[in-house]
Amino acid sequence: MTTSIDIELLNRENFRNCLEAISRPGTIHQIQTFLDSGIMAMAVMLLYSEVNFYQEATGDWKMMKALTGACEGKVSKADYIFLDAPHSDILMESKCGDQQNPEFSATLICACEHVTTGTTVVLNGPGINGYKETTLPVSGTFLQKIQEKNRHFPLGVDIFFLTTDNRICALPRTTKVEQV
Amino acid sequence: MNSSTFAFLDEDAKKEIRRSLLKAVAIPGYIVPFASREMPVARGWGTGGLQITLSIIVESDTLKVIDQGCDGSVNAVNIRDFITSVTGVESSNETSAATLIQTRHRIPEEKLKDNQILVYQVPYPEVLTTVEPDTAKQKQMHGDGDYSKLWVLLYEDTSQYGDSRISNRYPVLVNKHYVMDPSPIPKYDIPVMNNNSALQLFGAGREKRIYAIPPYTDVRPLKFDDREFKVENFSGIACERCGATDVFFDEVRRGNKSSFFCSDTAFCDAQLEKNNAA
Repeated sequence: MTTSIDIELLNRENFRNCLEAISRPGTIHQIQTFLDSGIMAMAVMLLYSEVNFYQEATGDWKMMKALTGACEGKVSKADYIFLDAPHSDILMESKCGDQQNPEFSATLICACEHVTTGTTVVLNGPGINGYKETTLPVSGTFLQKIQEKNRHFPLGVDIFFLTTDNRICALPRTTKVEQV
Repeated sequence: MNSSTFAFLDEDAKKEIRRSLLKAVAIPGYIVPFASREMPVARGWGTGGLQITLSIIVESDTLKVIDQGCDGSVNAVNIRDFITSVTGVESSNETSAATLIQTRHRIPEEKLKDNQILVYQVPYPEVLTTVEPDTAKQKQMHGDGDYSKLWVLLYEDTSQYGDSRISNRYPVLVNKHYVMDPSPIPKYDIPVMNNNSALQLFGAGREKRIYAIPPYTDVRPLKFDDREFKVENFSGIACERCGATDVFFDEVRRGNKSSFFCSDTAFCDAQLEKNNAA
């Protein structure tokens, strides 16, 4: 049985991996599951009583709301968006902040296939030493939509990709993605 | 140590700080507000850095805390003792052994590595305060990328004195977008921030602000193209304790005589050990 103290331990270890992932875009980090689910682990780590979320993902979200106190709402208002698969329309509808408050923007957590199966890209921007060639577990079309959404820095969204083997990589809004 | 209160802060407080941290890293140089908590040290004594450290620390970390380069000053010792008492993590004076370094007003002399996080204690996070006291206007100026008042200040200093009079907290341009206060580190440390391998996090507890510089990010001091950015000059000076040169020195005055010692005490100890072994 998972106890509350286990959740705090899980959260801090998973957060460190998420912080590493978003600090160094394209790097891959293992996260520990919660209720046998990677997306639930991300939710329990990120959600608390002062944030809104939207989800189209498998999991016990009723329990998650009770556990974290977070409110479920519309895509356009959500601070965190949990998806079972990358979804371009949801991405485009998510909030991206304003010039004075760019932090009022959504963070997407997208479940995907394995990191090795996807689109080969070259990344550059903060967190990357020069250029980094890697594979992102999403389609080229979705990556184009991300670039479109993030074209007016500092407005934009930040995305975590979560693979079926519970590994994460992140694309903050500062990362430029070029498909190979 | 009561394991249910690992790292002092409650879980919701950590989650709120963590959310601010993720946004700060995603928007380099942008100041993210956060709900700064009461800490068992007075505001202005490192509570911002402390809250960041407590929100990100994990059991496997090795902690190092420095105050103006020194591991042994009262502020550093007290903060280190507090963090280790509420987390049980190991601490070390060695820069290379540490994974998490909390600092006040210095960057260690030793080159930082990929697996390290540097947490700065920040007294005044807003770089525009000296030229624009209105916080609403400051926010608008950042949003518009309007740093003209800072440029005017720099121009006035340059025209009157030949160079900027700012000795520490020198404004830096991060990722070619936001101008940021680097905390009161000396100008000597500004070039070290540029393209640094470590993640740099900044916390101002009293002012309730967090900001960040991801690894390998472009960080440039604000300066005119035809002016060289001059750092503190220590040419011809060697540490009286270890003999090191080309480092940042603390000057100790004894009567009319000045003595110079490495500001980074861990670096000085390592040099001394190397000298003794040779």
